[in-house]
Amino acid sequence: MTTKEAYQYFLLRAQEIALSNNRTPVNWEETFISFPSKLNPRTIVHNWLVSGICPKAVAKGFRCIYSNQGIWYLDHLDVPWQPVYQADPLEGITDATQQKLILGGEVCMWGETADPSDIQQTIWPRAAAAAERLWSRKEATSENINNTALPRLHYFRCLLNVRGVQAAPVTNYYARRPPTGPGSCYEQ
Amino acid sequence: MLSSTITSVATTFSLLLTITVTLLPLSSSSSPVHDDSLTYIWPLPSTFTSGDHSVSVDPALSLSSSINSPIISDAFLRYKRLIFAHSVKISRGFFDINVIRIVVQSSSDELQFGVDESYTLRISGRDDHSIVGAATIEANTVYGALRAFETFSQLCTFDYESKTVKVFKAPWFIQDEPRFAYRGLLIDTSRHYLPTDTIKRIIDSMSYAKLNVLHWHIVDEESFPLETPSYPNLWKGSYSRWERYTVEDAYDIVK
Repeated sequence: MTTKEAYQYFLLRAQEIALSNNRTPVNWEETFISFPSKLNPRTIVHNWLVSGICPKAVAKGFRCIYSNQGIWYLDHLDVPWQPVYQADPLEGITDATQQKLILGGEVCMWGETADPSDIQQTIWPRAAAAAERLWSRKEATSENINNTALPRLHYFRCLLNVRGVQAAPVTNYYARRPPTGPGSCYEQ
Repeated sequence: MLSSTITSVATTFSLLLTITVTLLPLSSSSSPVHDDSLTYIWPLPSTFTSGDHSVSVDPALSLSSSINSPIISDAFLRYKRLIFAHSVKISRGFFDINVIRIVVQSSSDELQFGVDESYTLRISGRDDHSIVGAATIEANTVYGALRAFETFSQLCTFDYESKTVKVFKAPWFIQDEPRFAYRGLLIDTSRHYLPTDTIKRIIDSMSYAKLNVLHWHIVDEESFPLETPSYPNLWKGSYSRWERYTVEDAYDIVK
């Protein structure tokens, strides 16, 4: 048995166990890339590395969750709020039936450089940018975002602070950094 | 003139001097931080209308619910604490909003992927012909009502002039539902251990943004903090014997 065969055996066996317990398997995209025809059709494909995976998965009838690592990986500190906000799980999918197979998306707070001392600052406010993309109508949240979304995101970040969540300033060049100077919460 | 007077007095007033000097440039700058044409609800509701009244919210706000659900009554108390974080001026009688009325269609509180999270929220204005001003929530499930509580709490702001909690731009009519059913956040307790209390705080903060899926990446090659009764040696792979989750911890988080 080669390494690849062992990988496939292990994954498919784990799927069977999940399905037999009436659970739905969610697999990171590698199983779909490696052996799509062997996957149980109930499998949900979870995108992370390759952009354009969800369009390919839904074209084959699989459901898909969007987590494009270039923008929705919160441990990537050099990604500002705008691309997080503008990312869209339906990107590249025009067919309405296929769009319904996109369940939504997930921002990922990988833990290599985050622990209790800084995790909330790293999650917020950028997770909120993704949260609005996932909840709100696209048409109402796409135009002129520096005037329509940014002041509202400042406001929400300060609301999180008021509620005791250590959300970091919205417009710092690197995520989770403290403020760069004096100023209102609502403008930094 | 002012500053020279102050600098001539004892050093105990140096704090006062600092405050005075710092405030001066601020009072001359008039950049408005708050743009009233925007709707300060995050995430933005699907459809909504608002008015131009300011209504006060009773610190003794009461709950009137069509169903007897601890999910509703617990949420009411949670949000009441958030809304009335400031101690408000001692009640002198009249407040516009005295009660939150909740009508939930389904008596089932089963939580499954794709559960109906839609809701309608109405907040009455000043001239409504009702004796008791109300915020009214209608939802198909208790989970829709939870989303409505969050929206309501974001509309309640502490007004420093009257020292009361107010809803501006009332009356409000909001109909809302999510664009996607899966709105997730992944946390990773293999690369760094997170105490259960930290995880619970993260879950609380997720609800403020209406995120609804916690993906707990609990183990990986770096550490294995979870107890697995069938293979009791596995959690010896935790970083230390203090960085572990018992089965009970895991149930507690999931619950």
